[in-house]
Amino acid sequence: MIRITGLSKKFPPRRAGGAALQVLRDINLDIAEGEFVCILGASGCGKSTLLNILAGLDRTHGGEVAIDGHAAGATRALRVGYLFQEDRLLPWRSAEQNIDFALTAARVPQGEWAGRKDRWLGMVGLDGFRGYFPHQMSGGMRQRLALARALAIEPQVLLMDEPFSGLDELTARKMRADILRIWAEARKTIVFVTHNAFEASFLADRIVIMAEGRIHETIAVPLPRPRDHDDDALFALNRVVVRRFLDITGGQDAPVQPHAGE
Amino acid sequence: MRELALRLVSVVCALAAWTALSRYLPDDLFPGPLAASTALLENIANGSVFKHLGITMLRVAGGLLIAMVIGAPLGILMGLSRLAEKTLDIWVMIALAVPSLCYGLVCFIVLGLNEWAAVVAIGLTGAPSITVNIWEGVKNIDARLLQMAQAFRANRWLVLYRVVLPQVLPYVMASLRFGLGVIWKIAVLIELLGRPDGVGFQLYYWYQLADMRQVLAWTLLFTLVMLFIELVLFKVLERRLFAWRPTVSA
Repeated sequence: MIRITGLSKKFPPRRAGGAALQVLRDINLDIAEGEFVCILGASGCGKSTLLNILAGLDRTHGGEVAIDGHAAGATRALRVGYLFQEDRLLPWRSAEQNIDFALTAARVPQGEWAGRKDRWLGMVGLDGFRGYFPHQMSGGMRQRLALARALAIEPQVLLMDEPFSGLDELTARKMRADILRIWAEARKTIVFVTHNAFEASFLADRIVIMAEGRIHETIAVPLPRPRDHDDDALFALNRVVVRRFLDITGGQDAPVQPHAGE
Repeated sequence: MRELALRLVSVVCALAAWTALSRYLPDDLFPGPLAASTALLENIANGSVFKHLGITMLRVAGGLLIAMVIGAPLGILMGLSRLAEKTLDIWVMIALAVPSLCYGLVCFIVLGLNEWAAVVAIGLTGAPSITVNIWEGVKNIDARLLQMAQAFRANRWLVLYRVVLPQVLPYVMASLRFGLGVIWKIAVLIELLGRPDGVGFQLYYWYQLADMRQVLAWTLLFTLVMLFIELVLFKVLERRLFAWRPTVSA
């Protein structure tokens, strides 16, 4: 599980004598093993900074962040998968070699590689594309490959930073369904950052609303799974979430509304 | 295929123009392509080509090595550190601006009329253009990919040869290409200045004897060898190194 206690983060001033930028203030959040949490906020609310801290990329912060009892970034025993907004694949490596890169980086023993690649490439539907280079694949395929790469190191936690916001809505829909299916099978803890209230409502067990570096509210999502994109209860929940968000931010920086016809 | 045909046509046209021009000028002033190639073939037959071309190639290789050894670390440093960039960029510009003849003269005066001086002069002339290319390449490294590698806990070596090197390699190739172009020309000049052999020496020798047939023959040889390196060696190398790119033909 993830335990965040009193987390704060300040960026040093850009100019000498300028004001430091406080991006995170007193964040407290517990995330259970296998839970799917969406962090909802407008751009600049500090949600990406929070993910970087969870990933161990940024260790200069106040407060404590522990994953399974280890401080984030402190030990290799802790495997964290990261899915970025862009695919961030290595263009000079084939699909399979991109996964090899992650396996090498995470020091997975060579004997396990073949099995893991079969499993995760199969699960994202790219088994037949092992030799393809990223530029030969569509945006959706590349993001699925990035997902397979994140999963292949079999992380305790999967972090996702608006991973579908660069995709067209139809592809994104399919990816959301895929991610729920994979989550149901693999039972990873997922922290998913998004500015899209509908996406959060569709995916999450719990929605955490962030604004100006603070957690303002957590909303439990009572919808049963598997969920349906066209479920009326989903739309009702989405309206509640958007309303709460607007109350908190005073109508500023509203998250994305569901598109007409959804 | 079309490109190849276009190239062939342009070569044929140039040869025709050369022939036509040589018809109107006296033979000893401007011989045609046939005369020049015959002279070249004679030189190949009597072995002088291999001796002089060989020694020039060695100097070019040595010069390129020195240029890389000096130029590449400076380029990397300037790409990584703003301080180094701000301190050194004016000097790179100055080094680029100094005429190559000056490097040659200074080296021959300071180091003496020897092989060392020649190779060092060639290397010094080539170094700044290598620095410029590699500096540009290191500056353009994608920070987002570095962050990805860090998120997967890649160690330094893995980051270096899987993430950094593939991004810098095209710039290294460009710098080699560019550096070689500069170095070929300076090598010939340096040989003319202070060496008793090599293609540059031969050019100067025949120039003093006013033998245009031989001057053109050596120029032709030199150009052909350079074209071979550029069009065959570099093309093959790039195709192998950058096979992952969407389009490599340009």
